[in-house]
Amino acid sequence: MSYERVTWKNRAVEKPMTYSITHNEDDTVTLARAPGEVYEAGTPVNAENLNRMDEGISEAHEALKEKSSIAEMHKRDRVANLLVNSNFADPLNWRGQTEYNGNHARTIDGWGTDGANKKVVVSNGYVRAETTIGSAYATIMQKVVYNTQYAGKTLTAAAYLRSNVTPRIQVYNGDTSIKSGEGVSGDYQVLVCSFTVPASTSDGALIVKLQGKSTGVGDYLEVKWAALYEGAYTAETLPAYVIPDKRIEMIRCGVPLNPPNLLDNSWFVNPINQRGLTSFAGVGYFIDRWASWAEDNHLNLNANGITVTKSLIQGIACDNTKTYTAAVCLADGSIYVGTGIPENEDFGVWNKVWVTKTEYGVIFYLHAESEQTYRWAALYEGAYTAETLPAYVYKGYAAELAECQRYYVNTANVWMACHKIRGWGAIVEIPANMRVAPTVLIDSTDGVCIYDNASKWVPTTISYTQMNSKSVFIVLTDVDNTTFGESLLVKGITGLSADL
Amino acid sequence: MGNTILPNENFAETVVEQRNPHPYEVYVSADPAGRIYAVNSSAFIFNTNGWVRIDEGYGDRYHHAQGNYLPGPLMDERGVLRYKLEDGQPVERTQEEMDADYTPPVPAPTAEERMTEIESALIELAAMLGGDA
Repeated sequence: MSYERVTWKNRAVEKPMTYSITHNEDDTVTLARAPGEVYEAGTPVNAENLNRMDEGISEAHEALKEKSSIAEMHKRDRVANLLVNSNFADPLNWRGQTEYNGNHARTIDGWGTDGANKKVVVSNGYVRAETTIGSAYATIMQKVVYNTQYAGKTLTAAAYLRSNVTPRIQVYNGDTSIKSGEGVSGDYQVLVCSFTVPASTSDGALIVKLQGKSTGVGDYLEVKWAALYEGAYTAETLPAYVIPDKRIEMIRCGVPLNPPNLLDNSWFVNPINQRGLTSFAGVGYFIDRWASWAEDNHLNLNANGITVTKSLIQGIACDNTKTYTAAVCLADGSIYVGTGIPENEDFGVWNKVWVTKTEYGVIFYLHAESEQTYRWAALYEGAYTAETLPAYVYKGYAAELAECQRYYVNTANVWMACHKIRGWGAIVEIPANMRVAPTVLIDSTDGVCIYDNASKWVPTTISYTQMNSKSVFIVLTDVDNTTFGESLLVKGITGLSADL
Repeated sequence: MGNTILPNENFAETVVEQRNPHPYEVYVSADPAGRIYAVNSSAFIFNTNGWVRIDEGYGDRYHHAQGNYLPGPLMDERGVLRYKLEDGQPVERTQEEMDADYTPPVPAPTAEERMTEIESALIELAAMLGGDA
């Protein structure tokens, strides 16, 4: 029973606080009010009125207690939102675009358009659906997953939206419209649409569409959140919308939680370092896969990672029309994240990490305008924020070495077996499984020499033939093949390079 | 998305330059007869004396020209060079040209031949010694 208010009235009299005194025989006095004219009698402060307030307060407390009771909390939690990625104020947007066009385009995670001439724009605090021709409704839609378990049940679709035309929620089972609920054009409103799921529904057939009933180009619908609950609700009884946990939504949307780090040798505390350099200045490769392009660059390895004074770059072969997220962690533990599509624009966080397009993919920069120490770096496909960034995973030394040796193999100071080929020279076969047929690097000071058990032979010419990514034949010619022995060793081949 | 301060002009120019580096130049070395015995790129040659520039471009074919520029191996299975420089470009040599360069190796004598030769020499020596007796 709802509480009826007392509606207290103050007493108003001609003579307030005025009394007449009557002296009694037993020397007591009796005071009697002498208010004069009574303008307003006032509400009596009596047991009835006070108890009514008491009762009302008690009932309110009970109702509050019931609502906040565990039973009520459990009951509320069971009203799960059957739509994924429903918070349009801050949606998951793994594809990383701010605008989506196209026929039946996939847009933010879990949502799409329902035909041609539709556009979806991801804005600050809402998602906006537009039409590019007058006859197509501005639409954003989602196919409900696991819909068959709700066959025959009542569901309620809801959304908090606004439109310059009539907004509506339209529910389909396959191609058949089963229910719609319309609002009014203008400001934000909660729109609801309760419906019964057909018993014959099949997987993926149940579709919730949020639409603006467009009549002209540019008509729009802006949505802040959407929901689909089991049960019948009105706008007044609708469960309060709960912003979902983003990482749970990532799982529901199938966004990779542990995507591969596209960078090689990204753990700078213990990097692969075949060249064996602990410091470097100028232009050239430093640790494996990382190179300096700046003449005034100074790099060094230390216990905290790699210290850079200008930049250190890594080239990555990839599709630069896709969305990527670049992240770095400095020695002090701070993490910087940037997302973008390299084909469209460079992106990153200035003075920390930068990504640019190149003809084979992207160039990833550890970018520092002054001395800065990096602990790790990562490049992931997809759009992640600082909140949703996957945890950095060190691939392990062996895995990193195998990856790095697809690009560069160090053979400095290595003696290699050499096979005498009667008639034309000697061959060194170097097994390698590299990215492409590598370039052979030789000692710039002493060159390449063949040794047998008696002498040292210096070839007149060195040719490289029958090369592929798996082995290299180095032919050493113009050597007097009639005099050197059978057991031969070669020294002076310092490395194989297939670096980008 | 996540980008902050715009780059200053100097670095922007540097980034553009680094994003579009100079193309890799492809060089070959040839003997006086024009036979190509080495291929490499400007990424790895620092002194181009003795090298002839034949092409330039981007990508692995030009960057790692040594093993990727020519369509086939530099030599055939006999160690004969397969390409020659003609009008500043590498062309495949004809089979006749390559055969003319091939010198079959002198086969080494077999053990039996060597034994026969030794035996013949001993017989001759014995005959000489026996004649003086």
